Formats: sequence, structure tokens, C-alpha cells
Amino acid sequence: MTRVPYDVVLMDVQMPDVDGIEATKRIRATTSLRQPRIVAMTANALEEDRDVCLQAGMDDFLRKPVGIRELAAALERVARLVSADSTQRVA
Amino acid sequence: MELLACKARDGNLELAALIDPGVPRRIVGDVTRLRQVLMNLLSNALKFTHEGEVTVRIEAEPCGEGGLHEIRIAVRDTGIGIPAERLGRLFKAFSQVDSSTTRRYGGSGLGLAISKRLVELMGGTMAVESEVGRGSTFSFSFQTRAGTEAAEPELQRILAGKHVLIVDDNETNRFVLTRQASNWGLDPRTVATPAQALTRIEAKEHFDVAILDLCMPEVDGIELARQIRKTRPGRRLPMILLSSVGAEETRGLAEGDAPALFGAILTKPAHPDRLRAALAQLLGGDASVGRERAESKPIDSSLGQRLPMRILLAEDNHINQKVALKMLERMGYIADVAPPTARRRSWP
Repeated sequence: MTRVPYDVVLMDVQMPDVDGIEATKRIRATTSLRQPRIVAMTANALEEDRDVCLQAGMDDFLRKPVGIRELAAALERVARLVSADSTQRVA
Repeated sequence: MELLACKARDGNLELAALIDPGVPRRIVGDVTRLRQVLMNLLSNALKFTHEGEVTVRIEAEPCGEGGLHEIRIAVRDTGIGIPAERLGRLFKAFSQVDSSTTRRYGGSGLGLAISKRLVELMGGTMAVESEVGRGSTFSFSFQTRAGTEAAEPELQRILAGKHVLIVDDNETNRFVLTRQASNWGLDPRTVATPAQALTRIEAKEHFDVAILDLCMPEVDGIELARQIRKTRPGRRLPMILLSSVGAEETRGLAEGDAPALFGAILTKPAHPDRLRAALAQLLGGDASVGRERAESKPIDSSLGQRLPMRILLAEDNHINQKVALKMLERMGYIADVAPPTARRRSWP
């Protein structure tokens, strides 16, 4: 994470050991200036699951099973955030 | 699927089908049985889901010689779910979750029992996972052989006998494209240089569609397209651009006039299905088939060039991981995968 600054992390929410929510909180807790944009991927499709993800610091939300069109749409949305991020850094 | 889509539209439901790239286009099997099982699971899912979505996912894994595949079909809903203690009774004839279900939803309780039996007759198994209030996933899997490729009649009709101009400086590419085009019933007219292409267009040779390679010495595909437009200002010749991932010329492809010049831009090596779909779309014009095709229009394979981003995939499930990487690849992204242990170490 620290060596290669990623623009986007596609984050599975239900992972063993460290789940996606926890991982996101840890990433957001670091002082790194280059924060990736994080897209949650979760089988839990309820509104409240979405809120949990967004509150943990995720930027977008995909329901599993993730289809290619939804993934492409999410990447287009996130790309706008990423490009805004890099403009800010330059400025 | 189309039959049930209307039903889904009546309710407040999304119906989605996700077919993984590895699934053979054709399989050998009893289509009537397969359809019956799928229809039963889908109509159940739609019946018991009041909000959210019903998703059908089809995955395939090669599992032997001669095109043998394990096909897994899962119907997932965000419906009312089934209590754990009732799951066992589910596949029994004349059984429903409880009698109030019958009053509210109707049905004989035979559907699942029959479906399970049909799947077993295909040599497969059926399973269910469910959580009350969250939804259910019914899945079944069976082994079958991939069928031999046969073009759909309507695609064949659209492409039949159409003159396709192929311009590529690379001999192997020319060979492959020409062969593919003839296999699809097209009439390929292949040239090795933009100059030859222009000569034939100026000589008023008839072309219905053109496939241009982007990276060619002297005149590239985009410049050639501009010249073709100038040469034939009145009659629009639909054109497809084949670009390469990471090529110098590809950068900024989306900003220039390329999107206006080309009906489709595909990354090489273009998947034959996508190339054929793009050709059919451009040749089909406003025919009804063209509209149907628009629904399944090819994924933008140049997304990764248009919106370059470094992507990390944090997904532990091996199959999901493979599927995600394949989808990203189709959009032109090469993502890194975060290994679970490293992830724990590097995210303190």
C-alpha cells in the first residue's frame, strides 16, 4: 500500500481476518497524503450495509455478484474523484 | 429471461443476468429441462422478493477433455428469505415454508421438488442458502460439454456478403481478420497500407464497413479515417478502430476526433465475439436486431486508456478474484491483487 500508491481499491467487505470495513478504517486512519478511492463489493444489499461502508470511509458501493457493466460504471464514477484528487494535489 | 423481465418490471425489482466470460456460448444438454428449472427458480425469486433485485449468475469451469465444463447457475434474490429450520423441507413435494405462505403467495409447493429432480436427472446437484429478511440463493451445477460454435441466424443475416475493408500493416493480423471475416459470412477486402485503401476507395469500390488498425507506419488509423471521410463526404462508411494497449498513439484517443470518426474502438487482440457484435451493430443500422444488440453492446475495452488508474483488488475468494480480474482486463485494466497476509501486514 505504501510503496505503490493505488488510485482505486476494489474492496471485498466479507473477508476473513481483516474485513473490508476494518481495512478501510485502517487505510483512512493512516496519515498518507495519497489516499486511494475505495469501492466496496458486498453481498449484503441492504441500505444499511451501504451506510456502514460509506461511514467507514468507502467512496462507492457495488453489490455482489458484481457485473461487468456495474463495475465499469463504478470505475467511471470513481475516476472523476481520482482525477479531482490529483488536480488538488497539483494545486 | 425476457419472459420474466416484464414480471420484474411490474414490481419494484431489478432482474440482472451475469454471465461470466468463461461460459461457453453453447452447451450440449436438455434445453427444455434447463429452461424449466431456471424459470422455476426465477419465478420463485420474483414472487418472494418485493424490493431489491434478482440476479442470475452463470459460471463455468473447464473440468476435463473434449470441452467438458462444470456449469454453475445461481439465482440470488433479496427477498423474504427462508428460516434455517425450514430449508430441509424445501425440496419436498407439496411443502412450503408454512401455510401462511400458501395463503399469501399461492403455489403448490411442487416447483422446487421438480426442479431438484430435473437437475439430478442432468447429473447435477441443487443447493440453497438463505437468510430471513436478506434473501436466498438457489444454485445448481451440472457437467456438460461445450457445443460447437454456430452463428446466430440474425447475426449471420446482417453480415452475409457485406464488403469489409480491412487495413492492417501486420501480415498475421491481416490473415486472422480476413479469416474471421470470411467465417462470419462477410466479404473481406484486405489491404496492407492506408495508401492502397485510399486508392480503392477513390476508385469507387463499394465497402459497407471498414476495420482499421491504429498503429501503422506513416499514416495511422485515425489519419486514414480522416482521409476516408474527406474522400467520401456524402456516404458515411462505418469504421472500427483496432488499438493496442499501451501504444503511444492510444494515449488521448478519447480526447481527439477518434470517437466521432469510429463507430467502435476495440483493443487488440479484439475478442472475436466483440468484433463481430461491433460489425453487426454498425451494419445493422436501425434494424430491430441492431436495437436488441445495443442492450448487450460491447464493453468499452478502452476504458483503461481513457481513464487510467492503478487498481488494487482486495478479494479473498479465488473465483470472484478471477472473475473481477477478467472483467477489469476486458476494460483495459491490469489490477494488482492484494494477498491476504500481506494485506494484514501492510495495513497495520
